[in-house]
Amino acid sequence: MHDDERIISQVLSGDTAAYRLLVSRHERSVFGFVTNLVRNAADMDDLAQEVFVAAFTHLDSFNPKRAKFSTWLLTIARNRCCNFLKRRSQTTRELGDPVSDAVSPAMDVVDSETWSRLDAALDRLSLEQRTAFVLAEIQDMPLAEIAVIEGVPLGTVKSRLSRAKENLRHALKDLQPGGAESPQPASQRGAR
Amino acid sequence: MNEQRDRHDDPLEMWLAAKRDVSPPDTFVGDVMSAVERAAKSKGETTNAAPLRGCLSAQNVSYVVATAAAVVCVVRVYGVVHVLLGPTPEYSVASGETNPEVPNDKRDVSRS
Repeated sequence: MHDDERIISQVLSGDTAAYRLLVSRHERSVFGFVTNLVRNAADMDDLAQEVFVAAFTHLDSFNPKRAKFSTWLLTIARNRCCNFLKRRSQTTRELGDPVSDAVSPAMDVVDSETWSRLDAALDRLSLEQRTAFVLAEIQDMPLAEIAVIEGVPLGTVKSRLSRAKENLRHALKDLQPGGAESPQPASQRGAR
Repeated sequence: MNEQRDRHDDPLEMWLAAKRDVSPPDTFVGDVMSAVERAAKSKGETTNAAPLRGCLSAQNVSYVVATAAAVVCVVRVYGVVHVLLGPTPEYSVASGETNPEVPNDKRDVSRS
C-alpha cells in the first residue's frame, strides 16, 4: 500500500506516466469485478477503462487514511457499474455471457447447463447481493472492505452474501440427480 | 463457498474458479493510459486557461474603450443638464441673502 501511495504522490506531482504502474497493479481486480458484475462484452472494457480514468481525474481526493487505494478504486467501479446496470438492466440481461465463452475449455468437464443456470441466477440477484457476492466470492475481498465499498454495516454485507449464496444454491437444486424437482426445460430457465 | 459445503458445491466451485480467471485484454493498460493522457491534457488546458480568466485580452479592448467613452459622455451630459436646469440660490430673493439696493447719494464714500 505504501507503494501505491508513493506512486500516487508521483502522479499528483505531474508524472502522469507513473499512473501506468497503478493500472498494471489493479487492472485484474477492476476488470474482473466489472466483468462479473456487468457481464456484457460490449460495455465491460469501456466501463473498466472509465473507472481508471475517473480515478486519475479525482486522484487528489483520495485519502489513504480512509481506505486503501484498491478499496477506493473498487468503490468507483461499483458505483459506475451500478449506475450502468440501473440504466440498462433489460439490455444487459438480453445479451450473452462473454465470461462463459472465455472459459470454454473448462466447459468440456462441467455441465454447461449448470453454469448457465448459475449465470442466470447471478443475473437475477439484486444489485446489492450481486456486488457483495462478486466482491466476496470472486474477488476474495475481506468483508470489512466490502462494507466500506458498499457503504453499509458489516452485518448487512453478511446477510446479503448469505442470501446470494442461498439463491445460487437454489438454482442448482433441481439439477442434481437426487433433487426433489426435475430439471426444468431451457425455455423456462430464468423463472424463479 | 467456504461454508456448508454440500453436494452442489463442486460445480459451484468450478464456476467460481472460472469467474476468478478473467483477465483483461493485453491492450488494456495501453488503452487506459491513452485515455488518461487525453484526460490529463484536457485537465492541463483547463488549468492553464484559468489565470487568463478576468484579464484584459485583446478581444476585450474595443469593448472596454467603448464603455469608457460612453461613461464619459454620460457624465458630461449630466453636468450640462445640471447647470442648465439646476437652481441658482445666490440670485434668489426668497432666500433673503441678497443685499438691499442703496441709492448712490446715500452711499458712504468717506475714506475715513
